[in-house]
Amino acid sequence: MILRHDLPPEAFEWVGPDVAAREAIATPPLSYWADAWRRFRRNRVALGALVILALMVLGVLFAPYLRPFTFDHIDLSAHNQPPSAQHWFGTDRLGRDLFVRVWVGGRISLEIGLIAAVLSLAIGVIYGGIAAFFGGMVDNIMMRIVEILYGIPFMIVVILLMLVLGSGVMPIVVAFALTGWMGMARVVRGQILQLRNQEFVLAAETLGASPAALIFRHLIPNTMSQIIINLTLLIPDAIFTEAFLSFVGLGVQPPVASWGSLVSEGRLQLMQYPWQLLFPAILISITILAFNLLGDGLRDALDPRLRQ
Amino acid sequence: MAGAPLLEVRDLQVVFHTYAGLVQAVRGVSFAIAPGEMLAVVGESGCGKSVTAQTILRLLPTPPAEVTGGQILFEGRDLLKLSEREMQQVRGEQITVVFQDPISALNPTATVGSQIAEVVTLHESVTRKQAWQRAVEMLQLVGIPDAVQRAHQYPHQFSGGMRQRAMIALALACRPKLLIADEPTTALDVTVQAQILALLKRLQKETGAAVLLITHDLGVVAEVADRVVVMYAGEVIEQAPLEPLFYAPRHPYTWGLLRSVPRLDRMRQGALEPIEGTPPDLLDPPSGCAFAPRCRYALRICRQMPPIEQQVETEGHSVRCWLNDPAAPAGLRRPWAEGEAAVSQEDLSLQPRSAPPQ
Amino acid sequence: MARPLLEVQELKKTFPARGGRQLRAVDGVSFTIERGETLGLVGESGCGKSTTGRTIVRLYQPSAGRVLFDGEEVHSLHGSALRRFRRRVQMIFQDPLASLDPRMTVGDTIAEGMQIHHMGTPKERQERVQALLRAVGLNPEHASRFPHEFSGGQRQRIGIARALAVQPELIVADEPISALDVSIQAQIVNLLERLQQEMGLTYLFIAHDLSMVKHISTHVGVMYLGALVEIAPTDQLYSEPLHPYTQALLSAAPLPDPKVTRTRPRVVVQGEVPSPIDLPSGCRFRTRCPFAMDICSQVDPPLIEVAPQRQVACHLHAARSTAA
Repeated sequence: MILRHDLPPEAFEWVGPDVAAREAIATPPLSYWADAWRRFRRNRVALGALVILALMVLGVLFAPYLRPFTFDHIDLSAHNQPPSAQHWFGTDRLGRDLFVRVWVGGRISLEIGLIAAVLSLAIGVIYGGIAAFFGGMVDNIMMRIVEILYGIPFMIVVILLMLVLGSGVMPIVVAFALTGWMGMARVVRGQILQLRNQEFVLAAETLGASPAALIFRHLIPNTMSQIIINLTLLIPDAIFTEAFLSFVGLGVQPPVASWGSLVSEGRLQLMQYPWQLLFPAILISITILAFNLLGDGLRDALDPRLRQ
Repeated sequence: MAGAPLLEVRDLQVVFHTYAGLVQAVRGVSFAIAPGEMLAVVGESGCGKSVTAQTILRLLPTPPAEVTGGQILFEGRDLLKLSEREMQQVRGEQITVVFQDPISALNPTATVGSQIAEVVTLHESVTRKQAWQRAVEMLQLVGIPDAVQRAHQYPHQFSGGMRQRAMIALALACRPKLLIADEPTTALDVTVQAQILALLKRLQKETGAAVLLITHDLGVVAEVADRVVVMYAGEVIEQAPLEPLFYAPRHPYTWGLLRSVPRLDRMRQGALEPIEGTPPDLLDPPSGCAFAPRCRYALRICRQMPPIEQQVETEGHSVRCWLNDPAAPAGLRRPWAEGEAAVSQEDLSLQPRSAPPQ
Repeated sequence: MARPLLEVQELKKTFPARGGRQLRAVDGVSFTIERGETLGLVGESGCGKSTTGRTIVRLYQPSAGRVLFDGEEVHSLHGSALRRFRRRVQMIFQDPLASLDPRMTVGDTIAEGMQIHHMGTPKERQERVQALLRAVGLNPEHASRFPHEFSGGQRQRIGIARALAVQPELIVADEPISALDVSIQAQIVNLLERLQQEMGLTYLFIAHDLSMVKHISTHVGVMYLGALVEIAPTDQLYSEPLHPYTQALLSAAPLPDPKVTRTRPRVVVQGEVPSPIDLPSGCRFRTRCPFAMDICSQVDPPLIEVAPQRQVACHLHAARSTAA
């Protein structure tokens, strides 16, 4: 501790302001995405969900090769076996190895989920973006159409579409994309309407930015977080829809398997061989739960209103 | 100051936990309010004035905030040591608050009259009818025309200025000893601001409540305050009774605040003298005086050692600035003509004795 | 005499309100700004000052009236003439955070205009960004940082740098200092003044109180409920305000001087600004005016010239008209 009377007279010489220090920023540089990742990382649950989903993807890609069976290899001599060293998850009534089938089925389910969600995202972003950017009459008509479509029960539309398109992977994807985009369109429209009158967009406009530049440089990047959050919530929706359709027999057809069709098959022998339903059901539940938790975590991490 | 203070803040320290580290929002703040006095705490955004007010009311979310030291003595009781229950009692009855934005502080689904009546019934044993009567009286007191009818209206039916009046009526309904007004006029138009300030001053005199006025505007301070505390970077850098602060300020930051506002009542005035630069990031406050990097009068010591609080001749006037040390160069010490209000350009032009180091 | 840089003629802008009614945000405003001058436009919330500014820079289409920039009618420009206008007229906004794209670095934000107008090579643009940052008192190394990392005053200086990047002639500054701290306000005003001298800029400076406007403006216009009630050279407006509303604004502005505060004469106005949907009959200020007369509720006073360059819309001064 220096005491006042110990100070030399030079200490009281005039030095003036410290020009370098007075505009200094002490906080380390942080981009939006780095900041979001920092906040996301702190959220243990969401991070766990992300890890589980990563494991799930690795699982559907590589786990089937851990066993010497293919998903459609029939061995009637070994049907309805309980889990064992030979068949980790047991076998179904045709003697097919359930471990392999569950992971291969997961491939289809995740694929459908991802493609269907991305498709409905694309439709939703374009539709909502156009409605919001042009506003007025265009917006009015486009959003009334969405409201009318919203009024039609979703499952009826899907089932009707499936009846027309036939069953299989592609029809499921198309059916979901055609019905799943409306929520996204509303979100994007709301966000862009809000951004449209923000001063930074007006500033770009007074600088002479074209509508395309406004949309792609300013509006879409600032809507990105909302889009991503919505996407993570659309994927489990699509997986669930696929599972449901397969369960009621409108989904993928044998010998191709998905989680939904596996559950559907397992249901037939639920009383005798409960694991045939249990394993695919557990995987569906974990995946959907993980996506939902991830979506929540992303919302917390990306929403600028919660920024501190 | 005669008698015991109503509220005394002693060496208060508040930090915020953020991703980048600890932000030292309030760094050892001390001041006191006498009963019935209007004390203005003035400073710019981020100086810790609102955090201090919210700490007194214990309204800060913890975490991220944390009180790391100090005492807040209200009539001798340390508010920081009270239970949440006891604190609620103090908040409703003894200390009340008026915020900048009245619309978020009023309940949108209840009539203005019923909100005031509710406060009255909570703290006093009166019948519902009496409480309503009091509500109407309070609305009349704060100058709301047709108060009898207005009491039946909802907050959204009030204009901005009327809402702030209603908010003040609500805050004074249970006759508090201290009213904390946090930027009460910042969101209002100038002509309405003048009305609300006059109202606050009148009510302070009529009800005898002490007022802690948080503001960034020295003009508002000059209008209503009895005493002034100037804060910068989480510290009190100068405090004084009203006139000494305006006519004989001692801290270069206070000079800067006064010099950077154009005077509407003077014909010609030289170039504005802003305070260059930006307040320090309290994540990493300067080791010496927090104002030194922006100070035109900074001495070498200012960058090294935080200044100690010193008493000035005027009673109740103290300052934290090395220029007031006897060893400081005399030319720098008194650039301010005693008794003069608007500092002229010449007063502050200075001839440094030694050249600034490279 | 050379033609003025900006000429606003009988500008009106209405917005649709609930129940098919009209909100008359700007209701017949006319003024001119000569090259190199600064017009301060002052008024309280809802007086139409920002709408006027935004209509001038063509963010809004006017409902009636014209805006002439350098002799050309702003709202009928298109093609390359519009592009030229977009470069020559720039705007500075009130909220220094909302006016910067949160996802773009400060460097990209400042360079955006130069990119749109194909000014220079990418390398030259980068150098100019550095020079602009220095010109507004910021560290050139800050170009790679994001808006949220800066303080309010620093952000506003970034907004100024962005506007300057395209070498404009007219800058519409829409309450550029209202959201800033007092000491920072003076920084920004001094910066704008310095840039005006160095680059020969013309300003339309919009503000909600009279204090900073006094310092930066050559002329001041006072708006109330969509109309210009008084316009005059700055010194005259402050030394001898004619319209009761101007007087009220002046005497309501808090002064950092307790002794003067206690003794100065006041023109106190009661109540608050009426809704621009339901304008009062006659003079729009009469509901709050301490000097209101019978005629005020019947006839809307026109803006008349009472002395060279001094115009006021008030029945109290009708007799002083130089035209009559």
